[in-house]
Amino acid sequence: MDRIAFPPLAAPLDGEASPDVPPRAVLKGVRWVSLGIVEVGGITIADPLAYVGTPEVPPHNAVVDPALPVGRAQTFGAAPDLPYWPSYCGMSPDARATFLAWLAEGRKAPDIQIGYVFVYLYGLEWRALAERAAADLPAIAQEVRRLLGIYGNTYSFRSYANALLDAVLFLQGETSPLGDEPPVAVDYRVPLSVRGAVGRCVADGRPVPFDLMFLWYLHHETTGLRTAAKRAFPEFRDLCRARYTAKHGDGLVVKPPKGVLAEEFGAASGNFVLTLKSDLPNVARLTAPIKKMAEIAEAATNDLDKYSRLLGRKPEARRTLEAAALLPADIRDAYLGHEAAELRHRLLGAASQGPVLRPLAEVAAVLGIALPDSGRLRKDAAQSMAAALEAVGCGCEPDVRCGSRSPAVGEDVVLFGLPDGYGGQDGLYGVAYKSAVAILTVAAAVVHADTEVSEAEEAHLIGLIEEFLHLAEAERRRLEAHVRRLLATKADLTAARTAIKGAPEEERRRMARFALAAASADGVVAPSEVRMLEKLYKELGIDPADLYGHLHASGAPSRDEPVVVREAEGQERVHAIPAPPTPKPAVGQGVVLDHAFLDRVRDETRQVSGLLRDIFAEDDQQAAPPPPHEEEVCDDGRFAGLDAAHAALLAALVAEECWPRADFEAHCAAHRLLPDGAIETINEWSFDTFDEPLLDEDDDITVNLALLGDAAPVPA
Amino acid sequence: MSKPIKSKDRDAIIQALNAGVVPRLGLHHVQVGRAAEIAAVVRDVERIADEGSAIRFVIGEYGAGKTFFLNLVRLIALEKKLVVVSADLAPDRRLHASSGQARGLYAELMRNLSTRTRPDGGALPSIVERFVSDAHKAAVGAGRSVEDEVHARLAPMMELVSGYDFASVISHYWRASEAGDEGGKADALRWLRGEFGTRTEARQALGVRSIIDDANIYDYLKLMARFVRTAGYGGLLVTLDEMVNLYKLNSKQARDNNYEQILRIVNDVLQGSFGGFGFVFGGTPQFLMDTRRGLYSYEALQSRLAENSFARDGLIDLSGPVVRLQALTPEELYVLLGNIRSVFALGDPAAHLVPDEALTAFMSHCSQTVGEAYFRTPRNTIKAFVNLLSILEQNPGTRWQDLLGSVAVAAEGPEDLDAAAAETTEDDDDLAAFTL
Repeated sequence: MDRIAFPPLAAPLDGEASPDVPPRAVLKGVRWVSLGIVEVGGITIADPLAYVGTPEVPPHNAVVDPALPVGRAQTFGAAPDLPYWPSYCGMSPDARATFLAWLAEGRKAPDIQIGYVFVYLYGLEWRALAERAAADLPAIAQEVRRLLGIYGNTYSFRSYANALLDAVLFLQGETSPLGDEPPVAVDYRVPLSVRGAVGRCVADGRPVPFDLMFLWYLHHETTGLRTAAKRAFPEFRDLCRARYTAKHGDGLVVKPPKGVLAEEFGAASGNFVLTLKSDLPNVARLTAPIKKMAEIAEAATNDLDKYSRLLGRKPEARRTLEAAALLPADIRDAYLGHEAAELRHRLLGAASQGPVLRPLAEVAAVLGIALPDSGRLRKDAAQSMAAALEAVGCGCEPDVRCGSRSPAVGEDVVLFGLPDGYGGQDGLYGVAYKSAVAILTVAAAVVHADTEVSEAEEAHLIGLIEEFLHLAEAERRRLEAHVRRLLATKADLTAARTAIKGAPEEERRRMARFALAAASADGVVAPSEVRMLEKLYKELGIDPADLYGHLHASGAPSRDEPVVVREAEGQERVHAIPAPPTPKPAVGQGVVLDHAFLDRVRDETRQVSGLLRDIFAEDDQQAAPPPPHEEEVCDDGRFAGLDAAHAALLAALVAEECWPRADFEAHCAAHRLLPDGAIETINEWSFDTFDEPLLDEDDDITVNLALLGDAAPVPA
Repeated sequence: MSKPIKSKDRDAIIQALNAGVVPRLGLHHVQVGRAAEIAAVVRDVERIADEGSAIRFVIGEYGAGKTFFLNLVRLIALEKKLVVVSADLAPDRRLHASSGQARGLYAELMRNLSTRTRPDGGALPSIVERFVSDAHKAAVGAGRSVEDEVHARLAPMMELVSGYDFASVISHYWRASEAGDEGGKADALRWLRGEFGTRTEARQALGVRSIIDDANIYDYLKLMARFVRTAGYGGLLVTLDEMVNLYKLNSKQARDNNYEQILRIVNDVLQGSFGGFGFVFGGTPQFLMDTRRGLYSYEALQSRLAENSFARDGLIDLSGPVVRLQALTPEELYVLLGNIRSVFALGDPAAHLVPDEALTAFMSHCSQTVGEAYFRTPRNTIKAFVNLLSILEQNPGTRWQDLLGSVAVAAEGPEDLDAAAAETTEDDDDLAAFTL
């Protein structure tokens, strides 16, 4: 039912005066009534937005000519038929009456034949484009939109009205606003107004703002919205907006293409055809910006998939927690508002970040999730619980989506605040996270081995999370929640067994290191912990005999460096972990000494050396401590401190340097002394006095005369 | 290290190191680091000398220097006028047994009984004679019979288990020496050394009804502790190395019996019920912590030994009975080599045989030859270094650089130690555990 524009009936438009503004074509003898009251054929019309008067030749199809006869108005539904090309002048009197009644009634009766509406539209079109009444453009645009609202379901009308609206907006430098519905496609082209607005941005070198870009994209010939985008259009739009601005800030900056924007406009009335020209660049053939937008839109559509399916099933679910849980995090808050904050507060309590331990029943009650009577939460229920929690910015541990078992009725779960800008689980909880969980599970099992978990052990386990700096913030928060739960529940090796299974050897060794460090964290490795470690080593496939050496070494004080629980390793590390305390030069390498440590060793050695020197002191030791027997000084006082009998013996002995054993014993007997006891006593005295033994006992007894110095007698 | 070193110490150190064993003398010239641990054992020794008691479990891996440490404790104790008895545990030397192995341990301890004047053992006769001489002199002075004096002095021992027989044997020794009866003296010493196998034999020789046997060696160690104090010494320190031999016992019953003896000792010491008495045990981490066969397998010992044995906040807590020795680090080995160089030079820096860079060059050489074992189990490394210095000393004009390439360092492993422990019993100075 397309119309073909044919030569204008009215005054032809003369040329193009300016590129943007076609020449005015004024109808002579008629006036445009936008505000005010006119009376035609006895019918009073307020603000008719129409031409009234008797035009000079030729007649114009939109002009209400009071000179023409007006019959009786019919009900709108039974309005007389109009020909294919309707016009006021060509109507029957009754049809005129009906048309005037329709105008008077406010141009809104939905059941009137579309021909009448067209006649009215012809006037608007002439006024806006042929006559170029710039001041009326806003009112006309508004009126066309209103008409579209009532009569837009007639394809032909919709098409012409939209074209007119588009042209009006273009002239105004505007576009249709972006609404909650996908915009109506006009001839599957990008509306002129949109191209004009984009062109203006491009010409000015301004970024293309989201709404404009989005309109451009939506109208683009290559764009086909999928169900998710259509069904959840506002969410789709907001998501695209969030991501567009996140990615491109104020908007894409587009380089001006060649060519100027110009488009032919054929009036619905067939009264005129004109070219809307501008000096704006013609962006119609640009594809790069559309591609960029399409990428964003495509991803957004995918992310809305689950959400859209829920809406399809349960349209009333929109703006509930259940639905919000399925929304991408970027826009979730907008669809939950303060309700989310409230829930979050109820769940996490005063500690805004958590982690907090909560009974599963309590959490389920807050979220309105039904619990089974006993046993574990079903997987889908657990999933939606986790999703609902995520919707309000809470993480939950265990979370079946991260590979944990679902919690059982009567258990506690740990809630924690997700980091700002948390964008869902994509790319999280991968191998690195799982290995961290495994390590901590193992460590927790060991810590639990001695019935009580000490504060130091707890702090150590929590502190271990810092070792996993290569994990994302969200992962580390979940890890901490996981550890809290492990600490709160009676974790044992069963939990760790799965983690251990299939771990490569290097991984298992790392588990062992962590477990050791955890066990010795509080300075006490309880035998029960050792027993647990023995079991663990067996599980890990490491020789349990190695355990004791490892434990022993883990008891070593550090060299003022953090304990190394995880050794340096390839690319996944973001944070440098200090080198192991003992440099391990490989065979074939030189020896590199740590000079700071060397200095400490020297210091300590000096200290020890001082301590020992005091003990093994040479001469400066205090004078002989009082011997256990009463002191009797020998006649000449040469051997002060030695009792009389031994002094006398010694006095006899110093006569010779060397005494055969028998002679020595004879001397002892003479002094009523026992030989071995005498040597002991004299040497004891000698040690105290000279710090060296005086008598050397081989087969013969040798007297160290040099020691005595002055005290040595002049050989007889 | 600038203090002059006596040439006697120097020779003892070099000779021992050259043979791959822990020196008996002069350890303080080579000790590296371990200030806290040494201070702790010095306090232990002083406590014993002050009528207190002390116990330490020196725990370290193969090569960490347990034996060195034990020897150092021994020397410190001797210097503080304690009597020290030392032995390595072995399959035939245990704390508790039923076929003579415990008595074997006691006998070994008595053979190795040392005083400051006899640091190499064999001091038992000296102590007995010194006691008897003193008693004799006092008796003469007081106009009493020596017999009475001896018994009066031994009175404090009578209250202890077997105290009467012990006193009788000491009296017997005095009488034999008075009578010039060498056989009688030897019998008394044999009894004291636990070398009598049967009671009958002992009664015939000495007239006593009991002997030192498997069941009562700890009681006799207590008697000996009391006796050495009576004889004028500060107290008795017992050092037992290679405790891992208890761990290696196959029968759980046998292990538990031995651990029960250790528990008795731990209890006596921790309760302070018996003064002038102390123990130092040397063992591997496994011996301590294995919950199936180690000390941790014995419930009553667990809690007493688990406390505070681990470094915390970088500090070593030595309030518990466990001292942990870690393997040497390259830095410590470096200082140790420096100390050995200093021993060679008798403490005179001007007489150093090699410059500092030779030390690192030497370590690099060892590292290339045997890997990191060169500092973790440094016995062979040290031996090679001592050899190198000896050659340089005996061949003036030789350049160390020329010798370095030809230095051979053998790798070593715990197997050596096991073999040594199993085959030779007098291997108590094994420098396998040379670490400071």
